[in-house]
Amino acid sequence: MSESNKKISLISSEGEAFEVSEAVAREFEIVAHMLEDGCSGSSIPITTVDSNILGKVIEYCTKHVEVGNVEGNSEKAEKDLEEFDKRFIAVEMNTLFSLILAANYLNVKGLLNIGCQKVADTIKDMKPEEVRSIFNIENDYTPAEEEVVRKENEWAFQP
Amino acid sequence: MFTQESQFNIFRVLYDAVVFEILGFGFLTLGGDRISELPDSSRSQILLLLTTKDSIKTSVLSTRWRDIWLHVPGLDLRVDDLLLMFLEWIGPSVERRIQHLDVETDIVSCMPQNIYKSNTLVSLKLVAVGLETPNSDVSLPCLKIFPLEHILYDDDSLTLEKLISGCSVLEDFTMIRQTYTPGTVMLSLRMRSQSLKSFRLTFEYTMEGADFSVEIDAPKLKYLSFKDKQSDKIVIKNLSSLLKIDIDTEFHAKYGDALDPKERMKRYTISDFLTDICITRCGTLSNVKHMIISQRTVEVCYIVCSLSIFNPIPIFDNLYRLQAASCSYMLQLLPIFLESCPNLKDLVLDCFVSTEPELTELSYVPQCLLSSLESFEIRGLSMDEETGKKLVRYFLENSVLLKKLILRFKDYSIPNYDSDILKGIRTFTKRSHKCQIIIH
Repeated sequence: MSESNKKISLISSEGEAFEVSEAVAREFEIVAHMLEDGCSGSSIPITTVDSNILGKVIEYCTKHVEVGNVEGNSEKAEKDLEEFDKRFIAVEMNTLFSLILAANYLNVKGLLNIGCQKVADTIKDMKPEEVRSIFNIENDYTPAEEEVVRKENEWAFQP
Repeated sequence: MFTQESQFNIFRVLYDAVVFEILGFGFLTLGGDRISELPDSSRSQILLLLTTKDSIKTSVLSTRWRDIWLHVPGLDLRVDDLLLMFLEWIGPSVERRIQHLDVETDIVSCMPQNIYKSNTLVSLKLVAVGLETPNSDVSLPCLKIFPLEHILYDDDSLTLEKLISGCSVLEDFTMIRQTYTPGTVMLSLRMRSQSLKSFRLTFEYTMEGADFSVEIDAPKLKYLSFKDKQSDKIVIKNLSSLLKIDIDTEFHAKYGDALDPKERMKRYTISDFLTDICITRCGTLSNVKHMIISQRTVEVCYIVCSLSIFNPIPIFDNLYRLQAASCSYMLQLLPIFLESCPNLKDLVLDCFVSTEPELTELSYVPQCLLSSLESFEIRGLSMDEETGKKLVRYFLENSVLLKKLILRFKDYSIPNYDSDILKGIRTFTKRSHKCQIIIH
């Protein structure tokens, strides 16, 4: 079997197996390192990522590998990929954070970047109170402590 | 099935996963404060994508967010209209962890007093800002690099003295003095430091009728760049470590002034200054090995020292590289100046050669041409001038050990191999047969 057709099974936290090509699996840097370290096994458990998220990460990597393999018209391909990324990351918050965590853990840089960008775009220009409520952040400062923090960088809190 | 290696790797993934869970990144649960549970690296990556202002605002979200913005590897502050806010921000940041700070503004605005106390600052560059007199002792125990350019002071002498005394490890200090603004230009500059290794002073302004003075006392100083057109009293102490000096000053004496009896005091200042550079107060010879000297300073030295019986140019025993600027009429005095550098190996001459007056033949041969000079470079030559040719001839015919003669012509006059000037040069007698002529 040639290198490019080699299949690898990624096993989710629920034990579900996702069969992918080695090229796609290598998009997970953590897997790529394992393969380089000489791991020749055909199934790799990813115990911290559930089936739903693992499926999505695989979808993301598959698309990027596919586009990366097409030669020629690179400008159009890049645009398509941008479109894909945009649609791909338009998910509800819980999924978004799961994707960032998984991308961080599996070391899928492109996915981590678009995930972080999505969060940054959401936070942008928001008041701290709004950020807290959107992300469910519990304010554990005492009013006096919060005042000190605000005072330290007063200019940043001015409109 | 798995090989032994792959099993090991699988264990590693499992192990990582367990640690991951223990550290509190359990993302298998739903709901709750998901964003705060992201690892610090992801959170600072998110903040990096925000403006600095939005990034700082996250410090107030909860205690877990307080310091994340400080880990963001970049800040995008624009110091225009945000200047005042920025100055407010800078104080606490300086105290907390900033190591390198570079503040440059067009709008002169006073830095906060916090700038005078920091346990972390290693380099601090301030350009065109105001500095108030420190209202308590200055404490910058890690500061090594400190350029101050075009600063407006409340009380410059006092501020500077307090600043320097509060920087116990200062190594590299630059001061470009503000052009004149009433009440803000210090008349006397005192630079005393036990740790200073490099000091650059530039004082561009020339103002009549005010007595400016400079005093430098820095026993570890290795490099001094002294470009001061204004000060007329210059006292230099303790320069026994000095290796390199770049000097451009006229001691506030204009060409022609020097013969005026009223200017006699200045002659002493100038020769004292030169003596200070070459011989320290304790009487030991200084180590200055490399000197760059401007045309203006060369002129003043010639006029004041070489014509005075009592204060001749002192001898620079250790000087091996000299870069001097000279115009045509000063070239006549070049051999006399070189007599002060008996061990010179490398001479670079920046010529401002003009056709008039033409150089008369140089006859006197100083010691260094006979026993040490190995490389001579003339910059700014022009091919149709006799002066340049005469100079080249003089060095070729008289330098015993010369290995390299480098001729750099002005851009528009680079000669061909067959040009008259180069043919002429090739016919000159070379006293040193090893001498190679290089043309740029």
